[in-house]
Amino acid sequence: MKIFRNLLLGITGAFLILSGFLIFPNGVDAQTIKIGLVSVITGPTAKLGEDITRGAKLAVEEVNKAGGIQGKKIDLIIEDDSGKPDVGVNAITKLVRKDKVFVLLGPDYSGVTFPSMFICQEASVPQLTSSLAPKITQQKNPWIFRLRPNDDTVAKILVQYMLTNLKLKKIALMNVAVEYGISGIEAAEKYLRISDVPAVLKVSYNFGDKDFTAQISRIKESGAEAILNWGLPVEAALIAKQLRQLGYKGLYIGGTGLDDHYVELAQDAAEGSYSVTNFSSEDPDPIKQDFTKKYRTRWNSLPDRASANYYQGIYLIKHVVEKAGVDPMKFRDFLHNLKNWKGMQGTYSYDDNGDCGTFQTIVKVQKGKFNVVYTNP
Amino acid sequence: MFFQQLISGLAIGSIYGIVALGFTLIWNAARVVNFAQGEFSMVGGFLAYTFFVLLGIPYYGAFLFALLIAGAIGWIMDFLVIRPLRSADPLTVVITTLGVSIILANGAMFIWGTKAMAFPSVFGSNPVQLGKVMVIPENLWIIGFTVCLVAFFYVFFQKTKAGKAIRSVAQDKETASLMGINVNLMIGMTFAVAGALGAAAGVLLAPLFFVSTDIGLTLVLKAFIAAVLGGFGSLQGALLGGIILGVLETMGAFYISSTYKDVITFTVLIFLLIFSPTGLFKKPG
Amino acid sequence: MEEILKIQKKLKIWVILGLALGIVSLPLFTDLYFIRVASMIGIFVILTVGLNILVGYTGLVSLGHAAFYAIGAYGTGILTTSWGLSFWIALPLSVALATLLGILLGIPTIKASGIYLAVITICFGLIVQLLILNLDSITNGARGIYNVPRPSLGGQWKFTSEVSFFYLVVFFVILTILSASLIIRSRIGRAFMAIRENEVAAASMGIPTTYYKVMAFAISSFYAGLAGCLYAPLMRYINPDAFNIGVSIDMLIMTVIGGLASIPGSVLGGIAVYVLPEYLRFMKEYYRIVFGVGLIVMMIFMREGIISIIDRAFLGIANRLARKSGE
Repeated sequence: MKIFRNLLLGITGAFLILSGFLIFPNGVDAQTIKIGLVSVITGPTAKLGEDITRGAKLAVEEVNKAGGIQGKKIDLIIEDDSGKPDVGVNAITKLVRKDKVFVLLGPDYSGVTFPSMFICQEASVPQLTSSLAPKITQQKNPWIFRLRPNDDTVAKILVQYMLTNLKLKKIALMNVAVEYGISGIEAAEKYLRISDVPAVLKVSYNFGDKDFTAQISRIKESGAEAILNWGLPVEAALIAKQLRQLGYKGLYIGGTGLDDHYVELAQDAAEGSYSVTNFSSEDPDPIKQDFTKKYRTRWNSLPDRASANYYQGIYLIKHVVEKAGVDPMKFRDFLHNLKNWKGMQGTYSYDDNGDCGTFQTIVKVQKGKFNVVYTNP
Repeated sequence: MFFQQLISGLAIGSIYGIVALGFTLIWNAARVVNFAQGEFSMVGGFLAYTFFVLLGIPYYGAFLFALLIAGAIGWIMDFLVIRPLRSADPLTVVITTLGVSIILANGAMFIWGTKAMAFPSVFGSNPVQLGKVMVIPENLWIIGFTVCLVAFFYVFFQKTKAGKAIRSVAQDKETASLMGINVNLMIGMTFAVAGALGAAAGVLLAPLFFVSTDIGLTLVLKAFIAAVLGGFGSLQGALLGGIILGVLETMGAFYISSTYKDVITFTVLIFLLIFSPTGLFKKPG
Repeated sequence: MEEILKIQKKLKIWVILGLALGIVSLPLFTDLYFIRVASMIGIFVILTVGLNILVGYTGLVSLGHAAFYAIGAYGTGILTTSWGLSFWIALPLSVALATLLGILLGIPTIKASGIYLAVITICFGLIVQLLILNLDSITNGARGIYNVPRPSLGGQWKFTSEVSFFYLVVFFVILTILSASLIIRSRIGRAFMAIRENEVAAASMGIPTTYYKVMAFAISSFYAGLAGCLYAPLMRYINPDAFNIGVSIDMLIMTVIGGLASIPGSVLGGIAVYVLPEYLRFMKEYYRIVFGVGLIVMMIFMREGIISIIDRAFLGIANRLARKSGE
């Protein structure tokens, strides 16, 4: 009798404890579409997450106010990946397996996207990412799509501009040692070589580094007239400052990572530097200005490249669902065949790999703001 | 260029030294390994940012306010958290200071957000000509401030009653209390001073490396290493250890590849700790 | 009193059986995300139990233990990808390497102790992480190692599903708990505890203290390496950032919170510190602050760890049961 009672006690106890872990199945509402968003919400680069969520939320608010997607309201579920792969994998697994989102937006960091792509692939969930590393769309994964052109395309356009418009001959390459930086600079290196203007030097640095004296001294010694830095905002800004401090006189050019946050941090040191981007709030194009105005009214700040990507992403999803419905397979197939769709950022034409086109802008920092100097359709 | 780099190294080394100083003060007074020391610097940076950049208070005022508030936080930390654990074993106290560092770091993130922010350089961060060499004025300010700080502490600990009281508490708590010294008050004051020191380092660091929430752990590690380098427990040693660390880091980057520089530093440190555990300098009697 | 202790012990056995039943049947009533979290918890339990042997039973502090975790993970990662070896070969090799390095870290204990030893362990952890980051021809540096394969059985069936891998982790957790308990109850365990209580006295009793201290390091790094070997195929991707000093600190916190010198404590510590963020997800930014506060509160009021509350609760229940059966 006592044994029976003890056993009952033990099992009841165990179930009571474990019932806390019970997750009630999430039904997919007939009234909502769940869209997952994973991005860098916390960390020193959290401005990125801020830009991304604001862009997405603005679009969601607009769409929901206008009646939603085919009458269904968008339920935007946001998780943090902190810019780290392990946190990202967990966050995405939660969105896909627990929240059961219909489509996933993000991540932004290639270093987070590449190792976590398999989650959406295995769950047959379309994934729209703003990541730039070319190899993300070279994995024969039919579920991955881009929100902007990949770094192979970007590098080609930027190198072309540097050689043709800026007439540069001696270029030093720098990159941050994460997936985005490594892939990006490899692409740039390739296009320089193809054009017979090989880089005079290639150095790298780690994410989180604060002092770049070693790299900068080597660059100065190489006699480079321009530095191409495939980096992220914080380090890129520190480098800009230290370049001044160490007496470097050449040009400073960057990949997409040299964004508004970079300009904010580097202040005077950013003057005269170039960056390549999918969007700039200073772009005079009326559609972009319209978006900028709406964003500014809503959030009291200027949108940046990341905001534009995810604003665009929501509208892209809306377009595809309206044309192809909520069946994931049909969604995916439709998107692969989407050509010449005029989005806010540019013209989207998807291919079988999930790449989306060639629109890109080159900007230059003048008087603390980015000015558009070149546009590629 | 060499001279400019040397000044740079001395500046960053001074910052490490100041953090190490606060760290060692606490160890001496309370035998506590304060893992939250780096967070005082982080908080100091953000406080100065709020006062100077957001509220427009002049630099020295902002600096002072940051020190005062950080000092208060240090005092509160001792009062609420360390005092109840006066007789607990070291590991318990370490975990507690870790808890405080988590609260400070995440509290700061909660208040100011997590993104890195620029802090204007009051003295100028671009090199200027000084005689035959180029120097960055910001670095001169950091070094100058540290020299004044050292002078101040010398006078404080050698000449004032409070300073001597703190020293006696550090040396022998029982005797000190028998002599009528309020041990708890002295330890609380030590924490306040260490908090202020940490904040000072953070404010000095801000124009160099931006204000961000992730510097805490790195700084306390450097402080730890600097303190041990100079002989754990020695105040002069902590400061000197920090300066040596800073100079080695900066000059090392200039002359050796940065890739293995840290590996070499830590390996040398391990050997030092095994064969000369009291550090490079002897602890003063 | 003896009767009460016997009842307490029986209670604990039943609860453990109940929990074991619950854990084994976990996949029936939770989703794949939770199973994944549960696998991670299992890995952390292995880490915590191992570290407890060093910190709780032997009284030595290590703030660099993520290094051994990393070696297990990278060993398995590299051997199963670039070298194409089977998980079951990579595992013993990686764990052996981790143990060897554990012995290496234990050697300085001949001369260094206390805070100096702690700093040495910190430096060690940092060195290992830096080496992994910089030796990118072997480790792929910051990019990390992708597509780490799940283990397979007999070359045919793979542990690809989250559920099957979860059971694999459970298997190793049980092995860890059993082996660690055996070690603690043996002469080795007694030597460890003697050293913790009073090293000088232990030495004067004839215990070779350095030998046992090195062994404590070796054993704890063995388990850390084992945990790493499971981590790599679970995540299918590893990078150096996952093994930074923050992880070493988390491991230490888990060990202390669960309860030093208590294997069930370590199990609880590993569970609590990992499960809490999931439970508190709704708190978003605030939860870390709550965690920090909780840590401090625990150290002030409950520094023997969670296990001490549980023990007291069981004692209370046992007391009541004993009285009911008419003592």
